[in-house]
Amino acid sequence: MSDGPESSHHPSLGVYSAVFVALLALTGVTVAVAYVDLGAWAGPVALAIACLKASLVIFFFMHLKYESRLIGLYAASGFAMLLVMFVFTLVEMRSRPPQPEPDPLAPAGPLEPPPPSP
Amino acid sequence: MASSSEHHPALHHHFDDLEQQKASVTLGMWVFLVTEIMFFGGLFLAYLVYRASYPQAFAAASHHLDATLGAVNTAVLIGSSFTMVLAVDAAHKGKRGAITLFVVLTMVLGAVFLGVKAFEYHHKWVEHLVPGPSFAFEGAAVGSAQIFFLLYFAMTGLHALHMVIGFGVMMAILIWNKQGRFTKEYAAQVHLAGLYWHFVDIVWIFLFPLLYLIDRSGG
Repeated sequence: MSDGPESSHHPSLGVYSAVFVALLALTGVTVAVAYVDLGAWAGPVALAIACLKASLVIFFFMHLKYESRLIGLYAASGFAMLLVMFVFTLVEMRSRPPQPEPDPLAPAGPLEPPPPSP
Repeated sequence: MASSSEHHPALHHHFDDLEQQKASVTLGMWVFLVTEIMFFGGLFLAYLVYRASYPQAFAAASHHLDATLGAVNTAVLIGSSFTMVLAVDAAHKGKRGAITLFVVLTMVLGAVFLGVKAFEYHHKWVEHLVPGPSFAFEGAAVGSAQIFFLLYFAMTGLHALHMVIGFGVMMAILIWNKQGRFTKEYAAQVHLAGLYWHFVDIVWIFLFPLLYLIDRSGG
């Protein structure tokens, strides 16, 4: 599996194949754990597997492992901004009092009390 | 090394050498992908907020999606990412025939994915699960189930649109390859097309568990 003098910048076909098999296996795992009753952990576990799969794609298929630090910084900045957006929104949501699950087709929005109907 | 690549036909005059040119276009592609991350991120955030607000309705609505078809499509798309990687590898080794082969394979797998997606959309239409006046859902939470399907169509639709655009990119790669624009020294276009295709794959890697696999244990 020799790639010549530039092999330090490009993984071998063996690495690509291993990542491909790992991605398929993790897809099987994410389906399998979805049918196991994990309670409140079901969502975080599914997201953790998805993040692991995304990391494999980013670092190997998208070559980020072999790119310069500048490109790594740019890629990380996108995910950092995403994290800021999600964390602040979640913190704000958690600070609200718990609501019963209303039907949003009722006149009011989900987070407002419904107006009295005549 | 530098003098041999200085007059390479692929080298634009404002770059010192092909290495620098490739680093620049790769950085440019990543900047674009960061905007794409934020673009899809808004939809993912909307999904998170509404799922946190209506967990039962989202679980009930999610059960109307075919998890088997979703899993098959995930495998198909991962397969297309793998063939794309092989195309980029072929470009790096200067194997023009292999570039065409693997790009065509990527397009075939992408077409299979979109075909399954179209079948699923048709099924939702027949079952009155498309948001709008004809939306029908058994159970109390009709409105929140409609929000789930609105997000389902918005997210998978935007994803599918990205794949259709990807087909255009692949066609360009095929044409440029036929014209002999890719050489062992420089084939960054194939690399950039790969980055785009893998990004679309990553979006689906998150969409699949979030949309298809909510609360499947029935617990």
